[in-house]
Amino acid sequence: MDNKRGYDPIDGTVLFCYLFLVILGIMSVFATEYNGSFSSSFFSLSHNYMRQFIFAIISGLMFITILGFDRRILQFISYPMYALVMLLLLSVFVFGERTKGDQNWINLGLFKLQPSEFAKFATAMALAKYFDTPSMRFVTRKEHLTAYAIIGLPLLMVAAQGDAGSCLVFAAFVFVLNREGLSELLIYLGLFIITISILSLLINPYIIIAISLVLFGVLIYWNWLNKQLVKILAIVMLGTCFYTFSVNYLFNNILQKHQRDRINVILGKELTKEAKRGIAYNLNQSKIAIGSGGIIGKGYLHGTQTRYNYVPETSTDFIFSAIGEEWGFIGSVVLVMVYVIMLLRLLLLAERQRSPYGRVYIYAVVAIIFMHVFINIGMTIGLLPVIGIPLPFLSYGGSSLLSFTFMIATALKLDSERRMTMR
Amino acid sequence: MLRGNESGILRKAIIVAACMLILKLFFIQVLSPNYKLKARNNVIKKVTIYPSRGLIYDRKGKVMVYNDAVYDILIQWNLIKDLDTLKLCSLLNTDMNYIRKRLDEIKRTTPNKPTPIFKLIDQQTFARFQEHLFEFPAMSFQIRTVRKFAYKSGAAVFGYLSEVTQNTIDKSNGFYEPGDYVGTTGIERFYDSLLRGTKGYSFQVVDVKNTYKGKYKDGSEDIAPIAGWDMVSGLDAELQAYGEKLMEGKIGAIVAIEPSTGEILAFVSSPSYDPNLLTGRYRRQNFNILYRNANHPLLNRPIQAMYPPGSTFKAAAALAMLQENIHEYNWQWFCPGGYRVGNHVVKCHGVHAIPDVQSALQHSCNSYFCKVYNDFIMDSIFASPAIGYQKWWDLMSEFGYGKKLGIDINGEKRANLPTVAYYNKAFGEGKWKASTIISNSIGQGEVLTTPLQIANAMAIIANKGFYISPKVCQYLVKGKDYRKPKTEKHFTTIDTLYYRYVIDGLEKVVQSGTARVAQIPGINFCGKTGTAQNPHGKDHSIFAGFGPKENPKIAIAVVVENAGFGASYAAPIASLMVEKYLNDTISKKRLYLQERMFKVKLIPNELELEYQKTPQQLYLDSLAKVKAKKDSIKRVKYVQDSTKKSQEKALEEKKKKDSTQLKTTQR
Ligand SMILES: [Zn+2]
Repeated sequence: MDNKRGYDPIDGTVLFCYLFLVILGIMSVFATEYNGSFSSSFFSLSHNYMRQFIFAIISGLMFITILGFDRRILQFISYPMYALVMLLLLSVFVFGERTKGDQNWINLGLFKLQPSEFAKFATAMALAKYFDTPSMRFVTRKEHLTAYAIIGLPLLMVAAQGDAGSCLVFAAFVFVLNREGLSELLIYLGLFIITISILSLLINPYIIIAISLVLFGVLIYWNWLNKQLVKILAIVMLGTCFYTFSVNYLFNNILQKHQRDRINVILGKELTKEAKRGIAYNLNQSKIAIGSGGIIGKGYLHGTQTRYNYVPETSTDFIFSAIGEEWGFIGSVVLVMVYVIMLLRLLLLAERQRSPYGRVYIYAVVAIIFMHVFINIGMTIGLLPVIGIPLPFLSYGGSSLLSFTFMIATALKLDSERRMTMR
Repeated sequence: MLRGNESGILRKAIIVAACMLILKLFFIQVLSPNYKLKARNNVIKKVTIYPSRGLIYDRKGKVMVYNDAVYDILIQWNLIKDLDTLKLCSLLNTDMNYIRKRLDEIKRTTPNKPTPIFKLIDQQTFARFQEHLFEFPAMSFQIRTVRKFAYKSGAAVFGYLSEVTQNTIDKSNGFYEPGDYVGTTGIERFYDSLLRGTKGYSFQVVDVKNTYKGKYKDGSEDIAPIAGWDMVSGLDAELQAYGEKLMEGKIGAIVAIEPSTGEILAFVSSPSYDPNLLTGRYRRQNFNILYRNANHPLLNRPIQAMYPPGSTFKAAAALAMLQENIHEYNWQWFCPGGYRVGNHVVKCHGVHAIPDVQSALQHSCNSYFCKVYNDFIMDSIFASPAIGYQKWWDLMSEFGYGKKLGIDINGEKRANLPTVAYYNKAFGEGKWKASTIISNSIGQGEVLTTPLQIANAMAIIANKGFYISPKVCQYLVKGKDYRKPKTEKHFTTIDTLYYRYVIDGLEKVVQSGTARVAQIPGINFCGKTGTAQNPHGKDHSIFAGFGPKENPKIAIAVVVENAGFGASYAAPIASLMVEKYLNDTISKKRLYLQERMFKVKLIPNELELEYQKTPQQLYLDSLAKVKAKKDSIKRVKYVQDSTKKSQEKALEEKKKKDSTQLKTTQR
């Protein structure tokens, strides 16, 4: 490429990972539908794998189109696109369709549009654009509040739609803010709250308070901490005490029943009959499918649990079950490693950007994909509660594949033109 | 350009999260083997392949019992959508209530599995249903087999199959599973473990809706079923059917034995029924009808009904006399027309001179046998009547009276040859003598026998001193393997010479005695009539005999309840049976006799009336009759006990009247 003009070839590693995942996705969707013989309707669009194949071709075209754009156009359309997608998200409340209690689809006839998928992409662009503002230092209260608002607006809307998965994905933008200077304490506090929440649901609040008081006492006695930290800890300790008591109330009154069931399954708590038949059964079947794959797997197209519909939603949210069953532990680890390589490589690309726009954008993309992968795989193996969220590039679904393609294509485009930004 | 935390926490988060995922994957994919097992249990359905039950042939190689395909219609409750029950009703001849009741049961027990809703549907009905099967997506079917009886006869000897009880399942070492059928009576029960064969299994891959997706590992782990042993029985299929036809409209039994082998040639319990009624879909309903019938068609009369042997007992009594040398064979007796015991007279049929034992048998002289019996028991060589009676008992029991003969059909009764202890208990030790129990001499009183025992006693006489435990089964075959039931040869202690005298006497009975109606052209048929007194009504007509005299091929006993003299029904029927067996046809001049026997209906044949109805009608009738069920159980219980009770009652009465008031007439 013409280095003088500032063009670099697009990053091969990420492109390779992308292609690998998309092709594996089509193969896996095919595997979940393959009934043992190739019939005459093999190419019929009634099959999900054929539709996914078409989506992949459209995605490829989109990929090339985006590479053809000027990066300034991308930067220019960031805000308008954000506004448009926010409107789409709002329209879901009016035209949306409910599936399994989550209201996040717009039926366009040919296919169902899931605005929340595009919202992630648009939010990443808008946040990048905001950090690209020349005066931006991310220190003033106004800067902070604006950044929070860009993330918070779609987060609140998907939360209102009951889309817990997307909600968590937007929460992952905190990683981006952290990169840009936000204290890590916020993330640790989040982890701390989650831990306390789980403990509160599992054991008696008084025991938790007793343990924390003892811990607090021990820390003061040994005088390990300076006075400033002791003060903070004391506040945290008090907050914990109140929070502990309110968790059960919040759990039972704020969360919807199906969400409570999902958490109960993971915590191994007593389940309602309905949950046993539904969510616990699904999770158990998914674990059986993955577990039965063993070390080397049953071989491609030889999975039984996934192909014979024991695992629900195998082509979408539970596609990892099919991979785990047919490719075994080795295949599963390879897949996880491909994601890790892709994400770490993208992080590297982010750091070598010269503009805050590129850096923040790519960083956001990494956070989004990371959250998707971790939650999705974690849920199929019983590490995390069942949260309906697609596995990037693999799960069947046009909205998901297209929006992730936009994210990667834009990231690669920005990276290839990073030298052009001289400010 | 660098600003913020370049080495942000995201990198660490990615690595930590990836490690967590891989660790958890390692746990469930590598460390816990039970997921594999669970997956197998999920997907692989073990389908039982039922072995073909062993066929049963007659002695000439004709198939008497075979298997027929029927269908169980299954339904998976959780897949039901808009079930058209009206259509089901009309397709399968059933009613709404049944469907509702059954669906309720299935919902409670196995809603996620295909469960039989209609069992053992015949091929015709199934064919009609199959055309509409696609309209019932929750339904499927499985093939089962039921027994078919080619001659529509032999219900009593073959028995029937019924669904296993939990008790049987527990005892079967895992062979039986709920819903299986097991031989419950007859030889189906006795040889069940051989006839049933070994189940096979096929492993099928099914999806979450239990739909078939192909064979597991291409069927390489399937286990083929092994068919049961086939049985060649000693029965003569045509003789069996002929016997049942002769007994139509009569209550009673026929047992025919081949004396030299102990093989059962015919085994008729009447009223009988088409054994096909107790297979297939309406099995239960038909069973209830049979069960409630006042004439008790389910009672296995040849081995379970107990009759006084009447005069057929005299043949053995004569042999006992000769063996103990109580009187010579040519001892003369003048019959004054009865035998006086105290102030009671055992009547005879006239005043006649009896020159020898043959003549006594020929004329069935009661006073002769009373005298002989009295002299036996009161003989001076025995210290007391009890010792004399014991000796008499020993000899009589050698003929199989009062004991189980070990036939290969369950439920055989030992009947009663009263023992010394029995009388000691009834009358008190030393307080009884021959005259107290004089009725035994002519096969009355407390003596009770089964038709099988009567036939077997004749077989002993035909064999001149031994019997082989009667068996229905000749042998069982499976491929080249061969099995014979265990048989024992039992000898009597009586001299062969005496048998000749008695056999000559039995020949005279038919030639010129009480059973002239039983003469068969060209065959020397020997036999003895009997008329058993019946406290409940008209006397039972009995005949026992064998033929041909020179080389006995068949020994037979016929009992016709409430039919009067032995010569009236039992003797003609026995002679027709023997003629049929030995000559294959009935001679022209005896056809009138056959017709007469066919025509006579001593009981209104309600059963026959019921058979003429369609199964559907039968089923609906039985629903209407459900209320009567309680009573019928009482009734059956009563009948089972009644013989015993009436005996005890009679015995008690006798005790009071010191046994002198009995009036017995024998012919
Ligand atoms: Zn006389």
